[in-house]
Amino acid sequence: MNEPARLAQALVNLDAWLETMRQEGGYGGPVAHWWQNRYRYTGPGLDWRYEGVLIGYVTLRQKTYAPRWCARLRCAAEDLLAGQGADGSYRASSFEMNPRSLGTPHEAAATLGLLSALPYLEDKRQALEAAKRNLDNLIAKLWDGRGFNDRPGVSGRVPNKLATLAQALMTYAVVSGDDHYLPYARAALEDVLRYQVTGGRFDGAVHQYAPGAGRGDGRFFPFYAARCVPPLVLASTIFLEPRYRAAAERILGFIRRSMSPDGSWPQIVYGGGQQADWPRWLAGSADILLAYGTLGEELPAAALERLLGSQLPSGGFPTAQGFSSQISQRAPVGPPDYRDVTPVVGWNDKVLRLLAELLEAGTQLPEAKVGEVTASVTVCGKRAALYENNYHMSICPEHGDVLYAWGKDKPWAQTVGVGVEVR
Amino acid sequence: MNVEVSVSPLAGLPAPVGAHELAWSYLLDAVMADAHRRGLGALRVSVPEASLKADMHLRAALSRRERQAAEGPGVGAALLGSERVLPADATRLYSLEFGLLASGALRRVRTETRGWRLEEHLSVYCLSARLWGGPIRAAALLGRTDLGDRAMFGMRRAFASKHRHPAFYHLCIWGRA
Repeated sequence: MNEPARLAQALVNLDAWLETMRQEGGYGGPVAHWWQNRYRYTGPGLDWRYEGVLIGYVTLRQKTYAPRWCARLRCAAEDLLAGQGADGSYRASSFEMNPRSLGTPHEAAATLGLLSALPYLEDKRQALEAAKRNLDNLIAKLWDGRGFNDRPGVSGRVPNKLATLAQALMTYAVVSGDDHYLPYARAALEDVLRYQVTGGRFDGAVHQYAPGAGRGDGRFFPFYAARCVPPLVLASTIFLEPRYRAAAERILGFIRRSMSPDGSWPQIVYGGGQQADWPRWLAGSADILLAYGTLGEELPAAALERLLGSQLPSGGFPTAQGFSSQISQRAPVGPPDYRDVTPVVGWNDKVLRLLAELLEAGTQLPEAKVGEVTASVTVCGKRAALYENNYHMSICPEHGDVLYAWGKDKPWAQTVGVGVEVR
Repeated sequence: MNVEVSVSPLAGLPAPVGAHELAWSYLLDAVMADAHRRGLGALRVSVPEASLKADMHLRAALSRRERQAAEGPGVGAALLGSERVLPADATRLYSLEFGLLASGALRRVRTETRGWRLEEHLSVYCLSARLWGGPIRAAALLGRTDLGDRAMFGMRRAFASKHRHPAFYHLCIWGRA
């Protein structure tokens, strides 16, 4: 299959899988992440999954004019509007810490998606007001007078989250013509620049966290650095300052240098020279590739092939390689950890967005060709099998009771056994 | 499911932050997931502090479905705070006890469970997790963030168990005997 055709097939297959992950209230499913996991709560998460879902479907609508993409993005926008609380926050917006609201960067990312979809929504004013309520709430809860914290009342800066928030604030200005949020956006971006390494071995890298809004923590995540690129590029056009784009280009330099020959990236490069090699993102690597594209650079072929080659028969993309090695950091052997294989909406949205971006305008999209998934996995080192179809996901050991069972229309998994509930 | 949440403070209970915040995420999810799976018609929850009331209400809202099978007549009682009087109509009981890692006063909080059959148990914030605190602190002293991160995930893996282990919290799920 030639590359454009392969990409188009991957896209429609992913869309078919995403549709199976919808339940009342929005896109649900378990979450596997570096920080924590959530396999028991499987209900809708109004978090960063809506950034990629909305922007991805907007891009597909722009490039193919097919009515179903408009239906998808309107449905997704309605999820956010229906799930917004009186204070402007979105319900269950904390991804790997759900159910919890005021998720960062998640609510800003979801609002960014909503704003991007505005031209295609029937009630644009309603959506714009919802976006404003959300941004106003984030400012009220997180702004400390000089910058944005990550949690109310706890001083600290997380630069990649500030970049997403800045992008949402700037996008609001672009779509509404109201620039009153721009000083907040600029403050957030200045903190991103403040925590970028200049010179030396880690030039361009961005600290993950600065406790007390003081020194950076010396953890450099290629994935999170990549998420700073689109906001910085946008900032260079909004504020007409090339230094933001220059910062984005230096991030890409760090990303290039930290890529492995197989097209993967370590989870963390530490300032002391060590690395957390595992897990390495699969679906999430789409955001790293998006950074290349945003700067007009060619995507590394090995990385794109690694991503496309990982797609599951269901159409979803697996989360990672190497979760079983998160503690030992020894190269993984044997079947993958169950968290590696689990497809997660909040990682797959990034693939949707990237593939839509790469699709040539006017492409005739094929019919989806998807099927069931049966994959050998391990749970706490013990062999098991992960099954997934349009209605159900389960993990069964070679011997013994079912370890995990989730009906895809349910907000809670029916069975969560020992080892699967690790948070 | 009709969910009612009240607050009955427990003296000496640590605030739900840090490890205790993680613990409460396990506890509240276990209660709501079981109640939802059982199709209970009502759930009455007593929590030890106000922030947990909001957390429980959020779970209740997320569990509500417009289009759902008819709920059963079952009534759940989740006694997670100082209130330990069981509603007479309860058909499912979620009782929180405190284990070895908690204070003596908390360990004395008990629920009368005569007439009930223990069906599930969850030990949360286990001693084995607490023991990872040493390596985490040592890594910080050595300036080895990488080792501290790995130890933290070791702590997480040991944090909860369905077996009775020495722990701060023990959630017991009971059905009528």
